[in-house]
Amino acid sequence: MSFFNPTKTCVFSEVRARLVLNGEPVANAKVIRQWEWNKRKSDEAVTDENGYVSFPAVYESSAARLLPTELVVGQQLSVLIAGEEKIFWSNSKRKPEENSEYGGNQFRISCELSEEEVVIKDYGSLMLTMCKLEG
Amino acid sequence: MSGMALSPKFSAEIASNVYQIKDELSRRAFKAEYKKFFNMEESTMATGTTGAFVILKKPHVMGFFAKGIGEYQNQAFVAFKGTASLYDALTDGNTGIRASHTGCYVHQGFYYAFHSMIVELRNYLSGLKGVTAIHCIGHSLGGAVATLAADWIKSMGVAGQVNLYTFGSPRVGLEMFAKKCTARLVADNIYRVYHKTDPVPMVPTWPFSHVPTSDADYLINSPVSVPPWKYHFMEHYIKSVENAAGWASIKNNRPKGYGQIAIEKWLQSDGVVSFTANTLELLDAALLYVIEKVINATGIVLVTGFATTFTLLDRLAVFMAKAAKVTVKVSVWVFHLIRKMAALIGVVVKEGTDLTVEFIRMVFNRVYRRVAEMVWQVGRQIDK
Repeated sequence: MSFFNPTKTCVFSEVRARLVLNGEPVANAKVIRQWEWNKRKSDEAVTDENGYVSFPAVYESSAARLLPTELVVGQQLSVLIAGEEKIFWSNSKRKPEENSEYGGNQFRISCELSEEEVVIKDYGSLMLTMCKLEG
Repeated sequence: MSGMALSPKFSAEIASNVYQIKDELSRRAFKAEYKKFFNMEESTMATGTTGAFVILKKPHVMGFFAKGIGEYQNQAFVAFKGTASLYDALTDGNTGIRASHTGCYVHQGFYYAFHSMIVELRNYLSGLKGVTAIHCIGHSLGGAVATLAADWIKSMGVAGQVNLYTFGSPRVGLEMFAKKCTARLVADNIYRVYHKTDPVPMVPTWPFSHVPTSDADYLINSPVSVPPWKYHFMEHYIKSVENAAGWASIKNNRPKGYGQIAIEKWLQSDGVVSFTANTLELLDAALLYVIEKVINATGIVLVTGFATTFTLLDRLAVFMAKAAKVTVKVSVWVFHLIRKMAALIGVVVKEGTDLTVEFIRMVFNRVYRRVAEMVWQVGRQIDK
């Protein structure tokens, strides 16, 4: 949130995720990041040989922020494994600041894709994931 | 409070989480969370399946209807999110009022928002079997829509009990609506939660009234903050109620209104009038006081029958102008009120000034604009 642009909003914080499946790194897999504030958007990245993938922070602006309305940015991370898309992280971003997904912590997660997703309510939103916050 | 009430925390979470059904991405976690409470099988009116989970799109997502399962068996949920598009209406002095679906005057903007979904709601209700309680929930402008929904659902006799839970809701209708709605739902089934420094419940101002009309509700003290509307957000409402043992523990007597003597003193005083929330409260009380005095003494009515829509401030101006010309006993109070309101906008009214409809309308409109400005300032995020 900048003083000069009060409508500027972080719609997805910088992410670093490590993906493993049954203990093995998920290497060279396409990861799709999607978000929806006013419009659905997405970008993609590929995991390295150790299963790590990262995305930069994304900012958008909307005049809607001038009204005292609740902020809701739909967010999702999924990975393509053997041609099948597996969603491993879903959330709604409810605050404009970067890193608000994890209450100010850096968005560094590790995910064992074979585990069950659970609802996490610790950060002011409903998050559905099997990933754990690192650190 | 009566049986089958949702807990403060559960209802506040629904009022917040209803925002998370807005798109498919955000909806995924919502469904995972609520599948233990609601039948999440999505119904579409088009296929004639009813009784399960309905997302209301008009054309944007406005809320949901759900049928409870497990511990909420035989209960249904109707929840609305606040929408940005209604903000204009909230602070627009020229907005009309309309007879609600239960026959009392309400804010036109809220009327139309509710009216746009009444067909879906009627269909949904007709598909419900064996439901004994319906919970209507909403935050902000969603609270206004939830109020109209609760009032109408109760009038339809679909369920014996209809509970209303609002967080930071604006006022919805005129006093008669507030009274009838309170009587219909029964005051104990209405959970109006608001932070003391949340500006939204302060509007629309006169002569709109809050539901319930009883003297107790769920007022939560909150500090004056920067930005000022911080305490309007659900994040803070959840924090305020999540540790409450139950509704009784956060129930508060509504601050005692200004007594007759205090109002009369204020109206007669000559001091400088500044524009603050307290002044607004006093003005509110004074306006209702004078309106009541006029009606009791003269029988002039504020809202005449048959008119389906009109500009409230215009009517109020005509009403006051008429009242200013009748018995001295009444007109002196009308004069004091207009003089006080004029002072708020920097206009000096001298004794003997002819209070014409045009003059009164100008005063009302300008004061109302100031109120709107105050709320809009509150709504403008400068920095974080």
